[in-house]
Parts: sequence; C-alpha cells; structure tokens
Amino acid sequence: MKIFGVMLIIFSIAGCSEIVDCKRETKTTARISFFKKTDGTSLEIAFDTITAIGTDSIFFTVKDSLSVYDIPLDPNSISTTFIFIKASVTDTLNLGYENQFIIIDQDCAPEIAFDNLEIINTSFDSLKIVERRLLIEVENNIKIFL
Amino acid sequence: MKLKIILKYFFSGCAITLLSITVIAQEKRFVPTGIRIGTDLSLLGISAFSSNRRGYEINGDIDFDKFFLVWDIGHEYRERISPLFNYNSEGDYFRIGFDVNLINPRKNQNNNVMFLGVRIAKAFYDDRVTFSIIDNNYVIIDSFRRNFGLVANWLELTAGIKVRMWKNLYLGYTGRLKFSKNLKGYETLRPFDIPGYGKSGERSLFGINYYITYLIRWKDKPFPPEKDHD
Repeated sequence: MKIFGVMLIIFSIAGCSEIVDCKRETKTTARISFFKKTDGTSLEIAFDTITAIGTDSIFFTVKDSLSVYDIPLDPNSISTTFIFIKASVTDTLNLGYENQFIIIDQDCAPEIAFDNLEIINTSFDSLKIVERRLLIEVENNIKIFL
Repeated sequence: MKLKIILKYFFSGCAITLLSITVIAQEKRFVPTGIRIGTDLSLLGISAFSSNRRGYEINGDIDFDKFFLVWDIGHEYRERISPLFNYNSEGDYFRIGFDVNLINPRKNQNNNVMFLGVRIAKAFYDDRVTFSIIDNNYVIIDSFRRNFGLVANWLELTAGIKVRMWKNLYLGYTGRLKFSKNLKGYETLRPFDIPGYGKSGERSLFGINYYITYLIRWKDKPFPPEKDHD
C-alpha cells in the first residue's frame, strides 16, 4: 500500500510542476532573397517602396538597400499581394499560405502561425520557393532572380 | 449528436463485454460478483467552485476474478480567459479498459482494489476563440474562430486504489499517464484543450482523479482456498 501513497504524491507534484515556455517557433514574415540572374550571386537592391494590398504601411523604402527582405504576411487573410516599386517599374508578388490561431499557454500571448507558403501569382520573371514552412529557423523562403 | 456517438461506442463496449462474460464465465472464478458505480469528486468539486470549468464523470467497473473491466463517461466545459483571448471547449469523452487487482484475494474480504491498468480514450467536442492581436503592419485583428466536430484519441496507463469506507461505499484515486494523443478535425484554430485529456499541446500528461463509488454486489466473492503445504 505504501507504494500507492508514494505514487499519489508523485502524481500530485507532476501536476503542479509545469513550466511555461512562451517562446514562439513561427514567424509572421516571408523571407525573400534577391540574386543576379547572370551568375546566381547575391544581389543588393533598393526599391522605392515595398507595400501590400490591405494596409497603408510601407514596409521598405529606397533607404533600405538589401539582398534579403522579410515581408510581413497579412494575418487576416490566406494570401497577401506585395507591390515592389523601383523607378517606373512595378512588380507584384501574390503569396498564399495557411494561417492558424495558436494558444501556446494561457499566460502567453497568442499567435497566428503561417505555413505552407505558395506563389499564387507574380510579375517577376524568375523566382522559386525554397522553403514553404514559415519558421524562425528557416533562412530563406523565396529566391528571386533579377 | 456527440452523445449519440459516445453511446454508440459505449453500447458496443457493453456488447463486447457481455460476449466476454459469456465466454469467460465458463470458469466459475471469472463470474462477476458485482458492479461498482461512481463519480469523479475532483471534477464535481471544481465545477462547484469554478466558473471557468464544469463537468461530470460517471464511472463503473465490473470484476472478473482479479481483473476489472472499467469505463468512464464524462462531459466537460472549459474556458480560458486572458486579456488577449477568450477560448472555450465543450464536449464528451469516454475511457474504457482493464485493471488488474494487486491485492491478494485471500486477504481482501472488503473488496478493496489496488490496481494497475490501461485505457483507451476518445473525446468528441467543439471549441471556439475570440481574440485580439495587434499587428504593427496590418489592422488590429479582432476576430473569432471555431472548430466543430473535433475528435481526439489517446491511451492511458493507470494506477490507483479503491478502499471500502463504509458498507458498500468506496473512496479512491486514479493516477493517469495519458499519451499517444491524436487530434483531428481542425483548420484555422489549433485546439488548446481536450475534454478528459487536458492541454492538447502536451504529448503526454499526468492526471489524478478522486472517486467515490458504490458497489452493488449480487454474489459473494469466492475466496480461494489456502494452499495445502503437506
């Protein structure tokens, strides 16, 4: 009978010793990298603006000359159309994804997790998806060749 | 609808049990001597004092010598409130399995039970969330999502006791290691709770329930004769 008393204590302690980890594993942006079409090397590029339909926010301006851009996905929708303007040239990139509401714990902020990224439509000539998952550990989602 | 499914599983279980009884009752010591019916005191206590969680659970077991067929049927509503969301889940669940009594039958005139056992469990439920998330780039999301017809399965290893307190009244507890959970039926809202299981994000969980049960006995348990050492 003693062993069952010990088990009761162990079960009770196990139920109380919960440690909450609020660390999130998913990200709310898709990472786009630019490469030269000629030799495949990294390309640093500045756009006049990068925006998206459904928001007034301007994510990047001409001051941002980068080869890698993290563009924020719309959590209200299952797709976002991004508009890239450079000089008189306008390109669009329509990305589709799944979004899921996740409660990690009652004491943590809830999050919208994105997954299964896809290109629905685009005006860019040459690009490919290298990773559909939208996790913090993922280095690159889409490669665009200019 | 969910209750219908639960009852379907329950009566299928009963049919299998009756068939098993018929087969194993060929041997006299396996003839059941009583049925124990009870309820989960912890869940009733929580329901009485908490506005965020309520439910009930009806339990039963029937003996076959030192083995018991055990079942639980329950209903649970649970609400999780934070400044950023309000989540709730509600549904039914059942567990069915076997226990083995570790008490020596020759020293067990009170029909006490100290058991180890296994269960299979299934829950049928709905959940919903209203939430508000501030996104710096898009508008403030203030939204509502829900799931209908979620189905969860899991397994349990159990250990516990049922001790006679007075006449045919027993008190006891069951410690549960819940594992091998499988949850289906959701899309845009990942369920946070499973009735009868707990937090759905946990791959395995410990749980403990305290029970009060009443033994309806229709036959005295045959006590095995002492071994002849001559």
